[in-house]
Amino acid sequence: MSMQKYIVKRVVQIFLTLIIIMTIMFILFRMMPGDPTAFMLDTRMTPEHKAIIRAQFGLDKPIWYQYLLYLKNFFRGNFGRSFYYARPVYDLVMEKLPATLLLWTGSYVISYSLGITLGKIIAWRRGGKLEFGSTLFGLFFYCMPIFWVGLIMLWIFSYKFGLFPLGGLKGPDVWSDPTSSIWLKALDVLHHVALPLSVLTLAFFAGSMLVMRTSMLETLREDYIMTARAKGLPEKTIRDRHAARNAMLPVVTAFAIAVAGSVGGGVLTETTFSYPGLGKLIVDATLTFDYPLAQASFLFIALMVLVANLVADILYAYLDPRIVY
Amino acid sequence: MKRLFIVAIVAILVASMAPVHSQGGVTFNVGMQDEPKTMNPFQAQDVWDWNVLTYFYEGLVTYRPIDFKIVPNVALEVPEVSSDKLEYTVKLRNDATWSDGKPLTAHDYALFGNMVKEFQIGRYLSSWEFVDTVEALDDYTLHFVLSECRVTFIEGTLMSLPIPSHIWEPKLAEFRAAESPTKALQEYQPVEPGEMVSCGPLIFMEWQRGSYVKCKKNPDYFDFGRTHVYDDGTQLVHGPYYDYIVYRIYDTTDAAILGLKKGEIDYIWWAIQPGYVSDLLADPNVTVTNNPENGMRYMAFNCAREPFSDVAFRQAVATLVDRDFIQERVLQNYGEALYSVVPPGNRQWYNTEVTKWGYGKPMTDRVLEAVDILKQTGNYSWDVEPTVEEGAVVPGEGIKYKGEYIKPFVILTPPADYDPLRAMSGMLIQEWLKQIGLPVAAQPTAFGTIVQKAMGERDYDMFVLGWSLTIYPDYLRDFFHSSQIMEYGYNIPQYSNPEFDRLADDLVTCGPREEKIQAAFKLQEYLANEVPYIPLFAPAAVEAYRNDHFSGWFDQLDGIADSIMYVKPVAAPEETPAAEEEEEEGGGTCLGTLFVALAVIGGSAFYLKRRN
Repeated sequence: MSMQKYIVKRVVQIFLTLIIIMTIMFILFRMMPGDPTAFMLDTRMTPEHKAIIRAQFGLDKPIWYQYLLYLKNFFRGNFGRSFYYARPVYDLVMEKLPATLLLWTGSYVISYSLGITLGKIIAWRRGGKLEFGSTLFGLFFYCMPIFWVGLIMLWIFSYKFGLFPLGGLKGPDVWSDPTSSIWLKALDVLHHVALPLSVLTLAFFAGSMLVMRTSMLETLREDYIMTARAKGLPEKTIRDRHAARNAMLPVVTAFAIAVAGSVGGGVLTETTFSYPGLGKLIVDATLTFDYPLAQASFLFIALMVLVANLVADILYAYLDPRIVY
Repeated sequence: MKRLFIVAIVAILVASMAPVHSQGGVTFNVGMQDEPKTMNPFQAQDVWDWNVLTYFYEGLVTYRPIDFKIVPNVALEVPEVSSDKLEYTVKLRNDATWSDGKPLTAHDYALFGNMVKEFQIGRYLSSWEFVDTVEALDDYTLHFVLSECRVTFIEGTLMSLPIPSHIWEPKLAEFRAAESPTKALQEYQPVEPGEMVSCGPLIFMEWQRGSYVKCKKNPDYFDFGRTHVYDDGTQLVHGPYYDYIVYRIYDTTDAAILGLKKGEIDYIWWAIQPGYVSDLLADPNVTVTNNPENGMRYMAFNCAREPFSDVAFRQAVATLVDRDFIQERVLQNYGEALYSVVPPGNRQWYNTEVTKWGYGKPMTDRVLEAVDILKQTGNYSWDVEPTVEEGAVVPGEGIKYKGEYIKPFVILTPPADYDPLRAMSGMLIQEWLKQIGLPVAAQPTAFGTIVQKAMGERDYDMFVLGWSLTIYPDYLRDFFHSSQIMEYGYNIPQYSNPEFDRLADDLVTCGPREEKIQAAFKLQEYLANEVPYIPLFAPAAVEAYRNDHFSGWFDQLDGIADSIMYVKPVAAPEETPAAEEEEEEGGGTCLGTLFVALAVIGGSAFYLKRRN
C-alpha cells in the first residue's frame, strides 16, 4: 500500500472513531446528574420562565431526538449553540483554538526537541554530570504538580521580577493603542505565552528525554554502530545519523500517547495563567452543563489526538525506511 | 542557517525595545475572575456580564448606594403606587443622551419592555408579565397599564434598562423573520463600538476576549456630579473620576492577588477567601474590607417526608445546629450567623425578634433541649436516650419515630472544592445530629446534582445550599409559597401554610412600605418557628483594593463594588501610579522579551558549543 492510500485509510478510520467518540460523549454528558438551567437560578425567575429557557435550548425534547439532531447538525458543520454563551459553538471553539494550538503545539515542539536532543547527548556521554543534572532537573518538574509550578513561576517571574504578565494573551497597553504595529502585537503575545509555554515544556520534556536516553543506549549496543565505528565515520555522524534516528522511534510512539495524556496538563496550565484557550472553555462548559460546547471542545481535542497519531505513523516511515505501509 | 537565526534574534530584540505608547489619562484597573459572555443585554445573565454592562444603561429609578433608598434616575420622580391603581405615567428628564449623541427617550424604555414580552426573555419576564402595555406618549413620557400592581413594578420594571431604539429597532424585522426569533435576538453580538452605545457613565471601547475589556468615561453622562447626602453627613458625588477602566481577567484568586500587590489592578471584583487576608494585610498599599453579603447559606428539609415533615423534628435539629460556632470556627468571623431568612445586613427588612433556637447555649444544653422538644410530641423514643454526664454528652442510640427506627438519611452538601464553608458546615451538622442518635451522613455532592435532586426530582432528605438575595424580600414568597411546590418551583422544602401564603401574597402587591415591612417581619416569624429552612450564615464579602491609587471607597451590603463610580485618584493624573504601572508594563514587555531572547541565545550557544 502506498503512503497516500494509507493516509486515506487512516483518515476514514479517524472519521469513524470521531463518530464513536461523539456518541459516547453525547451519552456521558446526558448521564451526568445536573441541570443546565441550574446556573441560571434567579429568585425572580419563575418555573414557567425556566421552562421557556429549557424549550429555547431544545432540552424539552426526548433524548433520542436530541441525538439525531446532534448528528444531523454535525454533518452539516453545525455544532450547535452554547447554552451559556448563546453563541454558535463553532465560533467559540475557533476563537479559542489558535491560542491553544500556539501553547500546546509550541510546548510539544520545544519539549520534544529539547528532550530528544538532551536524551541523545546524555546517552552518548553516559555517567557524566550533564546526565545527572538534566535527569534530576527533568524529573523534578515531571513530578511536581503543574499548577504549583505555574504559581511559583508566576510569583518569581511576574510578581518578583516583573518580567512577564500575570495572565491573559493580550495586554491592553499594546492592543488598545492604535499606533501599535503588528510586530509589537506579536511580541506582546509572545510575552504573554512565554511563561505558560515554559511550564508546559518543563513538565513534558523529561518524558521524551528519558525515553530517548534509554532507546539510544540500546541502539548504541547494536552491531551496525560498531560497523560504523569500524568504517571510521566521525563520532557526530554515528551519533546523529546512525544511532539517534533509529532511537527516535519509541519517542515518536511516546509522543502520540503523550498528546492524549497531556490534555489535563494543558487545561491546568491555561487556568493557572488565565490563558484564554480551549482548556478553560472545557472546564467552564463541563461545570455549567453546557452540552453543545463541552461536546464540541472534547471533539476538537479528540481530533487533535487522532491527528497526532496519524502524524506519528507517518513519521515512522520517514525515520525508518524499513517501515512500508 | 546560523546567520538567519542570529538575524531573527536581533530583529526580535530591536522590535522589543520599541516603546509601548500608553494612552494618556487615568486608568482604573479591575480584576475579574471571568470575562463577560456577551454584550447583548437580552442574553446577559451572570455577574461578569453585568459588571461591565451595568455602566452602559440607566434605569428610570435606582437604589442609591449605602442605604439602598429608591431614588429617581432618568425618571423625574418615583411614582406612588397602590394596589388598586393600575395605570402609571412616568415623566423622564430631557437632558440624557446616548453616547452617539441621540437623546435617551421614553421610546427606548418602552422598546425594551415590549421586546421582553414579545421575545419571551425568561430572565426579565417576572418584571414585565403583569405589565399589560407600556408605551411612550411622547419622547419624555411613559405610560404603563398593569394587570395587577406588584412591588416589582418599582423594584424591577422601573429599574429595567433602556435600549437604544435607533440601533435595535431596525434589527427587529430580521429577528422576527428568523426561524427562532428569540434565538436570533440572543445570538446578536454587538461588539463594535458603533453598536454599543451607552447612556451610562462608561462607553465601551474594545473587548479582547479572554484578556480584557476596556471602556472609557462618557463625557456626556447626565448624572456626573450628582451628590447623595446621608443623615450622618456623608456625601457621595457621582463620577467616574478616571478616563478609562480596564477589566482584566484572572482565572485564579492567586493570580489576582499578585496583580493587586504588583499594582497591575486597583480592585479585585470578587469576594476572596479569608485565608488570603493575612498576606494582603501585610502590604501597606492594600486595604481589605469585610462587608455582609446579601445572601444566605441554609439547610433545607424535605417537608414531604417523615420525619422531616414534623415541625418538632425540625425545631430540634435547629436547636442542635450551633450557628455561632460555624461563624467563629468555619467562617473565622468573616460572615454572620443567621437566624432569619432575611440577612441582618438588609437592615430595613430584617426581623431581630425571631425565635433563635439554641442561641448562645453550649452543646450539652442544646442536646437536652432538643430531646425535650422531641419527647413533648410523644412520637419519639430511644433505645438509649441521650444524656449529659459530667458535663459531656452521652449520645443517644436507636432513635424511633412513631415506634419505628428512623432510617439513615443524608445531608447533601456542595463539595469542598466548590464551597469549603458549606461542606464543612454539613460535616459539623452531621456530628451534632448524631449526638441525639440521628443516623445521618453528610454527603458532598456536585452543585448541579443537588439542584436537580432538590428542585427537579424532590428526591432528598436535607441539603445545604445558598441564595443571593434581593433587597426587597419578595423571595419570602417565592421560596415558601405553596404555589411554588412544583417541578423546578422555588418552594424546595415543600412547606405549606395557608396563613403564610396569604401574608406572602400581600407582601408582593403594591402598598404602603410600613405594611410590607410588617408582613415581612411576620413571615420571618413563621419561618423561624416552623423551620422549613435552617438559615446558617450570611457570608462576608471580603474584598481588597489598592489604597495608594484611588480613594473614596465606601462599605455597604454586598461589598465595595458600588464605589467604582465614586473613587478618585490619589495623585494628579500625570503622576498617578496607574500611569506609572502602564509605563512599567511597557518596560516589562521589553524585559520579558529580552529575557526570552537571552535564554534562546544562551541555549543555542551552549548547544552549538557542545555540538562542535
